[in-house]
Amino acid sequence: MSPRRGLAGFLTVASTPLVILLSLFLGRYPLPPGRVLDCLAYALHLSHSPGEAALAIVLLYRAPRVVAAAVTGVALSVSGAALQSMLRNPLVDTYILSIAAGAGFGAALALAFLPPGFPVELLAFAMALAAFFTVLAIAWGWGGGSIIALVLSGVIVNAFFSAMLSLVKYFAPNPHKLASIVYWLMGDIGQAAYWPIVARMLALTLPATLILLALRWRLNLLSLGDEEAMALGVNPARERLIVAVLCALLAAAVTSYTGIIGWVGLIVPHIVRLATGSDNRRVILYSVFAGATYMVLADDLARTLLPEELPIGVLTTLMGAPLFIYLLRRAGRVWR
Amino acid sequence: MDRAVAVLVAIAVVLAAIAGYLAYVHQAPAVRTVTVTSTVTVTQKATRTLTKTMTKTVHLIVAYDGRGVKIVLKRPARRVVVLTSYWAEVVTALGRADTIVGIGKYVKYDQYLPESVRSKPSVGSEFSGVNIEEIAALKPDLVIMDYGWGKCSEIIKRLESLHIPVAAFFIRGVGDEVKAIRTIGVLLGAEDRAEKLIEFIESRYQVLRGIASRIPAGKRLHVVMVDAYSLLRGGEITVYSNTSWGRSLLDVGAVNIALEKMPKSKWPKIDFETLLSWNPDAILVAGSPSTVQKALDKIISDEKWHALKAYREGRIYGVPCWGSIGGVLDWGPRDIIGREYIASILYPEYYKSIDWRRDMETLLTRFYGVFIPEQAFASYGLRWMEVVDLLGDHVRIPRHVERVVDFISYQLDVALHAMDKLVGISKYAKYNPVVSKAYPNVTKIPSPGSSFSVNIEALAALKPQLVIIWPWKKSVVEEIERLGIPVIKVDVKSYMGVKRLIWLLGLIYGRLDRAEKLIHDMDSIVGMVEKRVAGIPASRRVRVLYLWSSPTTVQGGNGTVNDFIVLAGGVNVAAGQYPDKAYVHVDFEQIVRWNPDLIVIWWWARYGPEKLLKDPKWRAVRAVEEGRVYKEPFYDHWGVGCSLFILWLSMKMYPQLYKGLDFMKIADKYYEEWYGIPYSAVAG
Repeated sequence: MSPRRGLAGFLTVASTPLVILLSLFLGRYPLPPGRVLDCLAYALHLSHSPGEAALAIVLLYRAPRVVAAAVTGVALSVSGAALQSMLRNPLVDTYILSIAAGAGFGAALALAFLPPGFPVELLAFAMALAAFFTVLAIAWGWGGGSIIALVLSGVIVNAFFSAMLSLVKYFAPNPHKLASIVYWLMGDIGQAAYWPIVARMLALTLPATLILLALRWRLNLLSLGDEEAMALGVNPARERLIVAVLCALLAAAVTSYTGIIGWVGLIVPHIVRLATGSDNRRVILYSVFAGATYMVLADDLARTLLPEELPIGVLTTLMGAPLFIYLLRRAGRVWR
Repeated sequence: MDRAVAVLVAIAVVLAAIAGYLAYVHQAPAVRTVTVTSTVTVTQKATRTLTKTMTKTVHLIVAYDGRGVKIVLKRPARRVVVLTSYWAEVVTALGRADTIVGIGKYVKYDQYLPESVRSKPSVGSEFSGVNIEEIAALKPDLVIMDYGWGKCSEIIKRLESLHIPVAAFFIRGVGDEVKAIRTIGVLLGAEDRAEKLIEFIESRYQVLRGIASRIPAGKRLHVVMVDAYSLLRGGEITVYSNTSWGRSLLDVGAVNIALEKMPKSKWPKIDFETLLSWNPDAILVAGSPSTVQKALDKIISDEKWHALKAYREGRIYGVPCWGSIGGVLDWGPRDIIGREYIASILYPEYYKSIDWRRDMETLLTRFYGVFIPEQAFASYGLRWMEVVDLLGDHVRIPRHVERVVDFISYQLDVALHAMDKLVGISKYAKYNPVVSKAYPNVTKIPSPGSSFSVNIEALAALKPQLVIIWPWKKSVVEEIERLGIPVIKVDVKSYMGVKRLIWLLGLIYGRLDRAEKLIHDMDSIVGMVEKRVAGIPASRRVRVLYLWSSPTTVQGGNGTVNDFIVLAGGVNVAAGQYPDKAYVHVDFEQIVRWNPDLIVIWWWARYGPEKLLKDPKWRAVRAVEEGRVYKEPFYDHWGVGCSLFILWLSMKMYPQLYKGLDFMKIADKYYEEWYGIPYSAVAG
């Protein structure tokens, strides 16, 4: 590893705790940095309570929200990086597994037709997995787990669930429910700013992330191509299945809580590749940190840029598109 | 010495004469007042003795009525009997409705008057005679009435023999109207207000005359104004000649044939052959709104009318008159609005700048103190009527509406008993809790879509006479209009807006009576709330936050809910920062900054107070800390229920003001009345 890349890697890793910490000082509620520090000290039993409102803002709102954003960023970026290397295609993301389409359909179904008490995230999660297993069934059942089969079945299932989502929107019993669906689809990390939800997100994503990290050298093998992988004693179809299941789990776990947040899984691995090279062992590892940093920063913007909150999904896409063009120009040499 | 005194007296007399003349010139000739004080200031300079003799009359009020008869009152009239509705309207418009102690028989039917006036004891009418003893028993210090028709002269004679001051008028035009208002203003001690009303009338009259004078001679329409009632009755037709209404045609630049032929008569009767021989360019059918409609129907069905040029050219129009709502032309303050109406209907191309409906709304709001919006008024052609929708656009619809597609206000259609007129309805209607319970047959009404998207062919197949829609998407409205179907656009942003909508629907469906009663019921609830919260100082008003589909989607300063919060006596904490927004997605920290006292959650929201109460971060918000988080009992913001919501909000804000008041009981009774189902059947 060149020194430059080593530095970039170090900066990526260091940025995450720094950005998370700094984000606790940002927000629309006027809190001087000293008060925020008091809150943190209080959380560590080092000082007295700096006031109910300040505590609630810092410890019960900003902190869980920032952590939720970080977890979301990690899940989306790691799964994006893994899929890109596995499929040897820089333009894929978890959308190829139809996670977002399935989750959107499930959430819409719950918002439109199920009683208010029913948790939306449950049906979103279930439908995300249902969509994903449909992809699996097509790709592995009929296509033998080849890359082209996976990509094609992803496109098919994606289109199908998007159409189903439109159908639910069309048959929603009233325009208010329609509006709720539209809002959900735009994404909102604020609704996950609650420690029990953050805990659930962590419980679902942490094991999958760790397993993917452990498997990252195998992804390097997969990225050599199927024949080379088999020659090295790896069954590419089976490896792909494992990776796909883990990626789907990651994306579904966060998407069902936050709504659809696009372009993170696409952008972050590219940034990492540009900084540290295309070795998947590094890309996946650094995607954990870069993803968290990127997402926390994006959510900071969503919270503070305008007097009203911006929908995070719209913001990441708006940021993503121009950034992607820039990266493609700079990174041409990496992928050529 | 004697000579000197004589000279001084002579000078004083001359000065007084000059002062009197000046007063005469500066005021209208009808009201040669009065205000002896002005004379006094002049004479004071002359001699003291003269001042002494004059001071005896300082407090006298002197005015001249329409006959030129001098009326002298010791002080402004405090007990007034008005024999006709338009003079009651003038008294009301001058802010002296409380002085009225007795009314003529027909005054109670004038819906523009406040209930307090309409419920005063009736003393008979100018048409069939009054009970003089009853009038005397009311001890009036002034009777205001007409002269020159019916039993007026007899009534005046008997009142004056009892030394009851009488101010009598006969109106032949706006000039007479202005003089009458000025006189009544003086007699009631309301000169300032009278001048304001006169200014309102005269400024509009000048605009009208200015435009009329520019209509070229070749374009002057020869018009006859007929009485709708006589037309319905059959036989001879009463026409308006030398009266205020008859002369109104001249004011707008037309020729009144009847006035040309019979200048002496007020209401001559002619037979149909005479009318045929005059063969007017246009015919105006004047009468109460409902009589006008029936008379126009008769003209359509009676073939002899089809021989008239005015019929063939489509120039037969209705002129709604008198005091039922929708009536435009009448003596009294509305006389000028009636002229604007006639001008606009006869010469739409010349009088584009005049908006009689808006002027009517302004007059009623500013002077009568009632809110009857422009949406309550239509102009009438032979086969159409023209109304104004909630966006202020004029829409021409058939006079008899029987086939409607309603995409948005179906809940009010239930309340107005108009569901039988719907041939199509929004696809969302059957999911509406009120509609589905109160009108189960809603599932049998076909649905060509919603305000968001319309199946144009399915809509056309229903052959609607008009479509009522929320103009969410301009292209949808335009598509429907391209089919040649009139579109009524509905958007409501305030309590007033809800009332506008109800008036408009009442007018369209021919259910104005029910609309008026509904608004009366709504206003009585909101009025009670306003009265109770009136005394709360701004600093102690409860600060409210309203949450929509998510706990961080809040109601800004634009929209019905914001208006409801204010009417209920509260302050919308989000209004200051987002004055133009209805829905705003905010950051949670913003809510902590506002720190509202009370949080209300939208009925359709998928979460309830418990979501906020169990999430510890919300404890930083006062409303949550104090447990003042409520879900609204039902969502009915654009309908009958908005008044209940205002009451409910106010009760949650100020429970101490509503001790002993059972909200559910009131709500159940009210919903039964208007939807035929109890509130508890849908709420909760």
